[in-house]
Amino acid sequence: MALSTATKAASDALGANRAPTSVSPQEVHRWLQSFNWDFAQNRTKYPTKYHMANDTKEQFKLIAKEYARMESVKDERQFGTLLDGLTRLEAGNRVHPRWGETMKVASNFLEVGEYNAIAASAMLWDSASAAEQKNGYLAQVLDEIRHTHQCGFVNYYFSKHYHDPAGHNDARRTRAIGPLWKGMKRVFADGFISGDAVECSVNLQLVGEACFTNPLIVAVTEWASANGDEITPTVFLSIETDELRHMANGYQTVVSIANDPAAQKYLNTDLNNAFWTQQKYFTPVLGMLFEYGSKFKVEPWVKTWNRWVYEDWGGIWIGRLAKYGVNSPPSLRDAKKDAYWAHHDLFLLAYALWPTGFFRLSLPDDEDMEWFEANYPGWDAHYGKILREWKALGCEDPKSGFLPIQWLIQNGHQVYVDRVSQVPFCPTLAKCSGSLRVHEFNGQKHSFSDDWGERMWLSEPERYECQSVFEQYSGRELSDVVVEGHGVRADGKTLIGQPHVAGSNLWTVEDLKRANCVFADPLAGF
Amino acid sequence: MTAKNAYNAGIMKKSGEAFAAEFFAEENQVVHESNTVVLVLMKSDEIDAIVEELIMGEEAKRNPTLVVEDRGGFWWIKADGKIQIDTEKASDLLGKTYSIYDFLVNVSSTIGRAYTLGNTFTITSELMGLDRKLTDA
Amino acid sequence: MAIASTTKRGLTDPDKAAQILAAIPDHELDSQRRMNYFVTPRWKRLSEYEILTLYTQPNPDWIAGGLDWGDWTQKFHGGRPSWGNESTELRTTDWYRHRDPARRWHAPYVKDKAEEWRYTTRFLEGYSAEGAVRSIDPTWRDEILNKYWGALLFSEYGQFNAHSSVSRDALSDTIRSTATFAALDKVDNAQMIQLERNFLSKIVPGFPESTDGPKKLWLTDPIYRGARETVEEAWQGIQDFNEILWAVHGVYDPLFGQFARREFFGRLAAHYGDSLTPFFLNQTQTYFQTTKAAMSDLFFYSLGDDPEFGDHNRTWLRAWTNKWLQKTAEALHDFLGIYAKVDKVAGVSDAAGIKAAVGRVVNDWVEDYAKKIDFKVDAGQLIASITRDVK
Repeated sequence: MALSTATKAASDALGANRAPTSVSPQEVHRWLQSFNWDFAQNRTKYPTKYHMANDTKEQFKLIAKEYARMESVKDERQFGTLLDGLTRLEAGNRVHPRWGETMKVASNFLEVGEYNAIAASAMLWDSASAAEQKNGYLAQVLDEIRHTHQCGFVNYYFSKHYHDPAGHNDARRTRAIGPLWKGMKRVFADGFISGDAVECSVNLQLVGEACFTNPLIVAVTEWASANGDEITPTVFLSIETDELRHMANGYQTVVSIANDPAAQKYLNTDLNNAFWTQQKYFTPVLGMLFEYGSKFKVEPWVKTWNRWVYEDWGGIWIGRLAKYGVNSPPSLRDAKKDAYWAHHDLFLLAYALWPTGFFRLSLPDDEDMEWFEANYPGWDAHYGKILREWKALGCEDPKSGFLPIQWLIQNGHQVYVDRVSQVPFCPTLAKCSGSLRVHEFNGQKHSFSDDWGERMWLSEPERYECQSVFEQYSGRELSDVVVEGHGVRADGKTLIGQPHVAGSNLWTVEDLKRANCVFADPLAGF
Repeated sequence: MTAKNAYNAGIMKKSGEAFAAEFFAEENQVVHESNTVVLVLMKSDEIDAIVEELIMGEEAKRNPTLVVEDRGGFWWIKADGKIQIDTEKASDLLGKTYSIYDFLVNVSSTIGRAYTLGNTFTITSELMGLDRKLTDA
Repeated sequence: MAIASTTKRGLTDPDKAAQILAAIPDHELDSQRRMNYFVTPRWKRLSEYEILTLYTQPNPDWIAGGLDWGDWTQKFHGGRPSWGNESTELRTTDWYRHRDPARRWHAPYVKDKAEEWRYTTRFLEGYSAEGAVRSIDPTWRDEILNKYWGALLFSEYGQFNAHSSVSRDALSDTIRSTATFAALDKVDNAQMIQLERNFLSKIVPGFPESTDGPKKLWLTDPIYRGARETVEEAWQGIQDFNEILWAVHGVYDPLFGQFARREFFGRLAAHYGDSLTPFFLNQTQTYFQTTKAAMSDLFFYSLGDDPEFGDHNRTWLRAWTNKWLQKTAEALHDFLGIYAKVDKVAGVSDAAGIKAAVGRVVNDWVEDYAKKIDFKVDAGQLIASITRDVK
């Protein structure tokens, strides 16, 4: 090959430069934006009503190899702590039983959110047109795989070390029995992956991650620590080290559409819907897991909510975006009411249906009750009174044959499931926001608990058709349902779910069958 | 330290009926814009040194609104405006190679716009990409 | 630290620890300590990979293998489901059958790549310190590495992007992680090509690090015309997640990708005194083999040998092969034009050498892919067609 003058000159100069040289990640990252090219059919497979700009930047400038190195360092620390230090301390079985049960739910349900976020961020990787933005989403896809495995690892670790492995060891199979599961899927699964791509981003990143991962993944570690659990902080705080990049992705999604006229028309509605969708489930469930699933309380859930959701997310994310036309979500008023009361409402129903759980629940003791009344004035006369009555009727005793769900129905407190959020509610007992409303469509009846979900359903009923547990199990006896859903321990007779966290007096399938509890569809009466 | 940025500042000091009265007050039914940022750092040997020397040291001098609180497994840090950490200084402090990406290993959460440029980690209340462009240099 | 902790740990605070220990029974409440005990292990015992990965996808039972019941709780506008059987032409009795033979979950996967990165950094420092770049033929460096190796970046990057909808739509967890790891490897390949150019620009005066030249070439040079059109079609032309994976990993990459990387750049680098490019190629080729093993499990064992739908699936794989083979063969044919830009080295880049190189790649592909799905192809005819303009 012929040598050009420039090539020759460059080659002649080479001997002079023998300094050790390598390339930093940011030196490669500078060129990423040019990796894309335009071609006729280059359009996303997941349409959005917004137009995403081509020049959106990535805030953390990662390349594949440096991503792997950074994550690998996180893993070395995390797994080193778990597999060496904490195992030697027998930390897996020095956790208060109430909290050990909470982590059956918290880690497994978070796992589902992380898993679906793999698909959600892959959808955004497809939708984004800027190469840097695609790169940011790609790292998130990988992160979500990491988090899925980390959450699984918490249950895997507790399966090996905690005194009650049931539920930790088979949550992926038994979680589908109970009434908390479908709501979890709406908020943490389908809400992230099924819809307009930007709407899904707002759900996943701007609200789910930037707002609710802080209480769910950060604040939870303080509760865990207080209750003897050092496994969860080790894993969850490491999970959260990836979330800041996801929050940045969500924010950059907003940046990429900020100048799009469609944003002026739709963004506030999508934001409000996303905020309501996420809070409708997270607010009661997190509050319930923290306050009813712990022995040692850190602070009232409503304060945690006020700090992380209202003041910091509301003020620093949403408030700051006001000058770009982003409004305070109109559903905030109802959400605040829920932050105060909804977790107490949900605990009543979750406890009433304890046999369908893959975890054990326990009643608040006297000390807890005092704490609840001090922090939620009015709690005792409403919730405390009912819980004391259930205890007196023997709800914890397998010989009693007493199931609180039967007490609710017999006392005229019908339990419904909101079609859109899939969150169960009892209109005659609830102190949270909302009220019962029922619609008929295409020969099927649907119950709703609030204006915001009802509105979503009225405009697009074909998106929200999932059956509730009461419709699915209608006419079936409770112990049959539990057995069919594998809610039984290795001895073949003792239930996984229990109404207390003591080591004896565990309920069996036979104890449950004696109660003769048969599911009925509450909408049949309309 | 400025009390207004503390973990239990303002309404968070109240409890029972007093808390509820403020929480449900009409003016608190909409979000209020905030010029603060929050940084959550997972505790570790390196992070503890960085918090003590760099964040509570020169960064707190530069920005007196900065508050650091111990929340068990993590440091919770809040300040007005922005918080910056230079990982080259951290590297000197720790006596070993410590890049911006090594620092990110223990950054558990950010509320505000966080980004990296060279060896510097920044979290700011500015709307990066909207108020000001993100750059490569 | 100067700040007193506000949280008393249950593990270390004596009062709390005592209360916790008092609440823990002295016996275990269940004897089953193996998580996911209900899963059929692929190997001797259930692996950590299977424990952490399987059934994380929450499918209802109407997607084969799913453990949940009922409908999705929110669907796309118009009612399309979150995940559904209609997203692929392939069928199975169990979408959870696939296993990655390397048993990779996130932690082992990033650990391997982190090691490669650390070693890459040390290698580059050593390579530059001994002035090894002086051994590279300057024209190969400036004309081929800068431009045509630089342009191959876009082939890898396009293949990477073809995986986005796969990572969204795949019907199970093990398939999703296999596909996503393959995707990161592809963008890593693209970034390594640019990294090599960044590196050369730092040690060779005037060597351009900008992607402008290679990109223009990728978009306009006839040598990459067929490759570009095939990659564009795989990226955004189709939506069936299995077809995308098969098009990329069953046809295009084992033929075009392997030829370009191994037979052209790898083989010629040695001739031109280039020991730098092979360092990166060693990584791309390792990734190729790991992905090949995982895709083989997916398409030949899990789907191709499905007890009920194996024949159906093989019929589809053959139809897809027919479609993508034509495009890929044209891409390879176009790419052979690159030999006009390099020296004619006997047995390497002369007609015999080129035909032998094409033969190696095509014969490997027939053996490792076509035969596995009973796809009838005359290797000699295919080689002749691809090399029809080689003189």
